[in-house]
Amino acid sequence: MRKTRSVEEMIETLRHEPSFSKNVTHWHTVDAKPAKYVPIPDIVPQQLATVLKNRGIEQLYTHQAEAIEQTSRGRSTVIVTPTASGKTLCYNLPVLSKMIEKPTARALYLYPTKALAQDQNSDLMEMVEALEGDLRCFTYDGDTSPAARTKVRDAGNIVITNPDMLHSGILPHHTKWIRLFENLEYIVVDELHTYRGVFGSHVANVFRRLKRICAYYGSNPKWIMTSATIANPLELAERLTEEEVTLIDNNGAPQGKKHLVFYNPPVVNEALGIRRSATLETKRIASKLVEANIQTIVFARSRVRVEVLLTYLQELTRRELGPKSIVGYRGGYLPSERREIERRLRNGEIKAVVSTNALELGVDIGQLQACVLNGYPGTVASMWQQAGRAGRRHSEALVIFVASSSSLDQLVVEQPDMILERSPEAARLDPNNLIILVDHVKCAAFELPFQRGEKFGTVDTEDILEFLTDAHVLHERADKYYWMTDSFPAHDISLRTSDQENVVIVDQSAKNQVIGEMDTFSAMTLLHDEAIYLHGAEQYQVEKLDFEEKKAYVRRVDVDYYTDANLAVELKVLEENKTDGVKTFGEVSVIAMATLFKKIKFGTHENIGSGPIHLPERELHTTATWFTLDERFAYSEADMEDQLEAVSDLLRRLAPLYLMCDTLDLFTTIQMKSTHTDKPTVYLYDRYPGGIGLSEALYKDADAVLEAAILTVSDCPCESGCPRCVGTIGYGDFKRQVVRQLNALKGTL
Amino acid sequence: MKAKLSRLIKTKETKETNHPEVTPDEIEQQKWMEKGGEILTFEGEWCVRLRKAYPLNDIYHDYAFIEAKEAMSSTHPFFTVDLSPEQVLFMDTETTGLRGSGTSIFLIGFARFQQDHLEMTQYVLPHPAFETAFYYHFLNDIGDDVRFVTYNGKSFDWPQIKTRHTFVKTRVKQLPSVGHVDLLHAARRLLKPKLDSVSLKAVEAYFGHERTDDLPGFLAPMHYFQYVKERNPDILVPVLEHHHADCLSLVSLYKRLSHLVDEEANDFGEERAHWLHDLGQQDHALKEYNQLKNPSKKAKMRQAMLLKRAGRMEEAISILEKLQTIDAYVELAKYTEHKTKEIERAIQYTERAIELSERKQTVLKQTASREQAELAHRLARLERKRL
Repeated sequence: MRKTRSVEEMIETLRHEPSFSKNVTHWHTVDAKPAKYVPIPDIVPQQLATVLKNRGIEQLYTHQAEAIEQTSRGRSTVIVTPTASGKTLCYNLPVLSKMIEKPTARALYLYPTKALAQDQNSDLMEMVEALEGDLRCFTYDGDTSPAARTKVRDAGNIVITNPDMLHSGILPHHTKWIRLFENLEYIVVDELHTYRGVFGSHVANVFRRLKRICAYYGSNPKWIMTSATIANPLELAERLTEEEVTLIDNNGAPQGKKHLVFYNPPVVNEALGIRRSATLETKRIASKLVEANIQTIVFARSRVRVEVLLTYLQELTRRELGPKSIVGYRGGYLPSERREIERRLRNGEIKAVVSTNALELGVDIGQLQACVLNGYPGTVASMWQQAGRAGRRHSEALVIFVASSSSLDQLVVEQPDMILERSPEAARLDPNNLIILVDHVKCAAFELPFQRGEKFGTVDTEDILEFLTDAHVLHERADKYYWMTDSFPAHDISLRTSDQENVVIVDQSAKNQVIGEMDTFSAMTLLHDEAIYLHGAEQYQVEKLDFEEKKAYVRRVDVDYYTDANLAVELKVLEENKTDGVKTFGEVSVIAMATLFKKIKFGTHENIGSGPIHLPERELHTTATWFTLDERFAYSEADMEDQLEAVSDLLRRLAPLYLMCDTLDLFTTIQMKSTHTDKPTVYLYDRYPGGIGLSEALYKDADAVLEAAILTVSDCPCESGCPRCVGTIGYGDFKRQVVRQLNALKGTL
Repeated sequence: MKAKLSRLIKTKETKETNHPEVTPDEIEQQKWMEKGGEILTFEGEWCVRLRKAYPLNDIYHDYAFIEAKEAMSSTHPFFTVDLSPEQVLFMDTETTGLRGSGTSIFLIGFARFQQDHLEMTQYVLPHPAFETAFYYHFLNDIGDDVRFVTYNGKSFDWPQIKTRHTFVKTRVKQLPSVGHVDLLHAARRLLKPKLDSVSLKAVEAYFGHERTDDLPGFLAPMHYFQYVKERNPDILVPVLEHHHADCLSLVSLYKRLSHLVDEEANDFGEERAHWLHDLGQQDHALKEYNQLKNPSKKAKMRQAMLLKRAGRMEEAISILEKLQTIDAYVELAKYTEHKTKEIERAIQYTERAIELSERKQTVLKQTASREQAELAHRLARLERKRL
């Protein structure tokens, strides 16, 4: 039934098929780019050069050679490397060169996840084996057996691990790692761009601790970092390591021809400006590709969307026997399930994978031929990363972006230049977020006592040490601060989320098997009693969420709806830090409570019922930026409320585009009569306790976001406002009023 | 900043008790001396040493101390000590936590035989800042070649000492070469079948010495932190007493356990035999097996195997035939097939083994089917031989 076709044939077909091409707003091609080569530099020892030659590498790409040269001059470097540009050589060559010259040298490799570390290890191992020397490299993670651990500590020239393990398994036990720390020459950080937001802020502090321990043992390692294309790789690298870093971005790798197709689903209701569902269109396009036997990856924005699309697509292979050739991939799956999927993708057993951004990272899944993006992933960098999943080597690649009706998606599909010409976003982090900082000062104090006046990275520690002393965590004597409790601090601090504990999901229909886990904040809206939880295209109903014990008991069901929960938020301003009259940046207290959920039918998306949620409220102290609207532009209180909703909706959707954050990292709430300003106010706040710099960045870049919002509304062809511009159906001169509010906020009225 | 911190991070409300005024070192040292402590100094730091001598004939937990000294020449390899009794330390430590570089040892102590008495010594770390003095004096006192008798010390106390030594190694002696007699291991070998827990406390209780009024171990760090803050040695007294009792208990337990393995007639014959067997002392083990009054099937099987190795086939066969287990029949089948060439008998033994294997209810299907496959294979080979 399936007819195998090449990607090139498929591209031709789509170009000439009216039902497809009429919805294409822009067909962008990126030309193939030839490689830029240079000879292998002399700094590379002869035996290593021979190994390269035996592997078919006679010369290097320009960026690889420069990485080696800069590193050999003792510089710390960050190398910007797109997908499939041979980045591992950028760090393996300098590291192995050093070890040939100085066999006692050690290096630490850090990958953002355990999976990536295991993947890269095999590549490095081959090189090391070919060198026939005495070099040893080991992976050190939670799976390393106790017996092997001693060997890694004493004999590993290269130790491959992840930041979490460094944080809780290595640094707190540094006395067992003396040989590593005394001889550490290089720290390799791969996928640097992932170290942003909360995770990045934590990792920056783990690096402060790492440098502190190195200094104690007398080493001063250099850093070699690689990053995907982002606006500020150098700034990010310097912020994370607090070192002077050299930027290398003269990428010399070749690239196959790439087709970027911007697809806007057809309008089905002219009056309301309603379009066909992007999910259904994604399904239609993906099915076409799968039927032609083109290995395809589909990116969806949320876990729920992944599961919905998966259910649709697996219909195609209903009659298939054995393991499924269309699978899902997302964070909630267990690691073993994910490894299995990665393996089957690489060997081609899997024809299509539906994924959240979990596969954006350098997980090696080989080359895929086509990529379908169900909605804009939220950032330009992310979009390029996802698009990079197709055509990793030299064949033509097809990337289709299917816009949803959200204003951000519509902005992107109507003005693709915004993406194509705009430099990608900057990665932000705030290593000095007080809560994160204090957590790591605790860990650092456990590792080595602090001296009065000692700096932690670039931070003065005096106030924090005093605070911890008052809290009986530290004890001061003779200007030194000693750890004075019997706990193990790293154990209570997770680098990945604000919540220390995850909710585990227990399937009661399968012998109480644990099928996944979720952070407690998400659990409030996704795992409440009666919620439909989707996992591997299977539906489960939550029978009981035991919030105390952090367990959700689910049972497999077969229903035709999914659930969507509401979160009620009460916000209080604690302190104003900066203000210009209409917008203010400061600190707030947020009390959030899940209140009720709706049951929404598959396919038609109609609301078929609802119910209450009984969960305790959660309090969050964080930073926020708030905008005060002008009541004079409204005809009535109801009109004011609509304007407030519209402005809030626009800012919430557009701000992540400028802040390079997940839409879930920044929340909004509105108050008709603010308890603080007495006026209609829109608040945008960081989801992480203490804030991670997003709302502060928003305060700084507000004009750009407001300008984008103005364009979104004024360029929309609808008359009085529609869901994709103002987020609701407008009336009269509603659009004009919203633009007026936005201009007033921008100060350009 | 502090106000902000207090708002962001809620610390446990600690009642503002009136902390006594911080007393200088001299005042604290005076208090220790009143308790009989010696103040040992080093490079501006200091630590406390507490010593107490016990007559060798004093009885503690049923045994006179002198008996432990005699046990050091035990014939059982586990208890044998290759150094003079003065180099054997019955040692225990108290720590501020369970693991990691931030966990310090604040109390090290040991009981050690001297010419005419048993000496109990404790070293107290008055503050984490004084680790150099603490380890300097401890290491100087114990000498360069020692044997430790501990309870789980091989995997806990000694690695912790190594970790802490790392911080002061440039200023104090190297760690001595050490050997361990870990009584936890012996207790496990001998008592595991009889006890749910083989903690020191449970073992003492099993032998009739229930501790009363003893400080629960997990409270020790709390006492220490409080002591460091208040500089009041009284706060540490319960910990010192608990630790003191632990060390003395090791002396008695060492004697008791070595007695159990040396003495032939007691309830631990079977555990003793298995242990000797695992230690490679086959002759000794066989003697023990032969003397068992109610040996388990496992003991009989191992006894038969040792007899077979010793060439005492007839005795071995008579045990194996009475055993009626799969393993025993397999052994008999092997013997009759290869040595006596009685194929018919070998077939009979194999068939009995198959019968047992089929009747056996097992959780692990895989193991069962592998066993049955092997038996079927054996039977098939024997039947080919019969033709």
